[in-house]
Amino acid sequence: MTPRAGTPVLSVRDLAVRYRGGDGALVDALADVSLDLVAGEMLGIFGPSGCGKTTLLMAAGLLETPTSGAVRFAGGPAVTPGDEAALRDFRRRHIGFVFQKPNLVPFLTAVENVALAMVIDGVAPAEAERRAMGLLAMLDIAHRAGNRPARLSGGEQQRVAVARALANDPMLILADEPTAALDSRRGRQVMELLLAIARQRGAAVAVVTHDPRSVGLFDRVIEMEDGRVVAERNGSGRAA
Amino acid sequence: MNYLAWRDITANMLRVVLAAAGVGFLLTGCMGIMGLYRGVLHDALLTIEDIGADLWVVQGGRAGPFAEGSTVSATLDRRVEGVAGTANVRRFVQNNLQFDIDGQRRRIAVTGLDFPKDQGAWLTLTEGRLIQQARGEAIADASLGLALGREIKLGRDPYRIVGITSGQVDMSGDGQLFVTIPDAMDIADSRRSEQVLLDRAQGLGATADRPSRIAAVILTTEAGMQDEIARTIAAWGDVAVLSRDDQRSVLVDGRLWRLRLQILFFTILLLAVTGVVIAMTIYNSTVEKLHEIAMLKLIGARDGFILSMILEQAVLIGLLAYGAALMLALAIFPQFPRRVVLLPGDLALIFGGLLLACALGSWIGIARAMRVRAKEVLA
Repeated sequence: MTPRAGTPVLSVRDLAVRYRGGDGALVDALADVSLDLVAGEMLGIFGPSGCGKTTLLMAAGLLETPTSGAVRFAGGPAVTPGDEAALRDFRRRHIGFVFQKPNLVPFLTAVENVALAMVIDGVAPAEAERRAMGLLAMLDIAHRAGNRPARLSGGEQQRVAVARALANDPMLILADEPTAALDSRRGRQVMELLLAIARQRGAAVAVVTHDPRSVGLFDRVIEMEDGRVVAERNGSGRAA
Repeated sequence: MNYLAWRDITANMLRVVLAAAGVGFLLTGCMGIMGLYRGVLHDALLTIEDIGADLWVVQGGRAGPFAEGSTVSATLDRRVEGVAGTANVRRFVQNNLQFDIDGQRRRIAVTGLDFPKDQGAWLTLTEGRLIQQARGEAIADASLGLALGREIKLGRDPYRIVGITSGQVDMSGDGQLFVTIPDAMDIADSRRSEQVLLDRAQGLGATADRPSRIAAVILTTEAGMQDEIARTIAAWGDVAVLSRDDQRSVLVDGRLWRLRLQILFFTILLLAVTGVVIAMTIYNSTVEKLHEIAMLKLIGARDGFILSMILEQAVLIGLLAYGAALMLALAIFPQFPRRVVLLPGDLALIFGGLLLACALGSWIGIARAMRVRAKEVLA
């Protein structure tokens, strides 16, 4: 699935996620959120804890079923919830995820962790590992390819997680606080890496973050509060 | 093999080996208990199958001589020989006795051969020869530990070991010692000097008036005559006639049925315990990986990939356990005091039960894995 020129990779319309809280009252985790994200663009999603950033990311990543609204990819029809297998197939082929914790499989080496994402898509293990080595090399971590996560630093683990997110050449990368567990220097490196991916591979990248130091890297920034987008402005990423 | 399953196994080899060892020991127990039953059955039927008798004429109203006691007249063989269609008639006697040999109390199943008609040709000798003299010669099973050429005293008389058999034991597992019928009767009738004196005082002779020790008369029949001969002899009234199949049935469905039932229960119990151990092992291993399973779902792994990872680990543990159990069984069962017979059918049955236990065990782990939601990776 390749978006036509000018067509948003991700298009969210009037998205609402509502759930019943512990006291029985309805809570709006997301309310009337609409946004578009185009190929090669890096979007920053800012806001205080509990404002709905992660819920937005999960709904966009087909991990959360919205109460109302629509999520479209590359101008296609709205993705309908319910068929978990179909959603999983779509995620596998078109969406890459990066989280605060790298979530690497502890008994796999770095290269195997990256290859895993391709193996589950039907690529032969040897070929998958060959391609995974290429991705690790691109992220300057090929020299650690044979190490298990326990033997990698936090920054190295996050790079492996980014490589895994890129494994199936997704059109959309969703990152939730990818630098929260890293020091400022390594955090900056990961953000620059995501920007480079957006630029060089033409992927649309949405990053949830608290880190104000990275604002300058984004093409566009939205601010959220109480489940709503309360502000939107251009960043300086295009000039970066 | 599943990409993750194999790597998980190699990364946690010790856990897999320990799990396989635990299950393997349980399977060895299953094989042992079934093998022991088969061994008892084999030993019980050994003489019936090998001695070459179509019919057994035993004491009237009894199903002897193996399932219960039987004593027939010492001259019954002559009556039987007079029945038209009989081919080979022999007397049979077997007594389980204890003797002091080399300072040790040993149990011996002393079996009489109707020499010269029966020199023990139906026995498979590993050493030596058949009985060639009416008195003083014996063929001993190797389990008795009596060397070829050795002379032992049983009762009042010495006997020279002229032949050695292997695995020739009775239903109790006692090694058999084959002597001629008169020798077998002498050995069974052996009395101390004081007993002889007391018998004399009561007017009984030293050897006279002793009761018959013949347990049965066995015979082969001419082709097609078996049923008619059986009917003729049974009509005498003082004896009963059992065919080879009757003897098998009396032992298998009569004397050994409780043992069969008990072994069946033990086998089911052991297989159930094995299944529970496998289920626990796989379930724990799955629970340890719930976060990774959520991650797999998040990055789009199909259920089949996760399912095969769990199932393949369970099957691998099962296969390793089965292989270990089989090797252990083949190594240690021959050292057991009783015969343990491992039949391919029984081994296949245990293997089938094991696969079923693996499937059921992994089903619990799979059911848990299927409930994991992809977004739990953020928890």
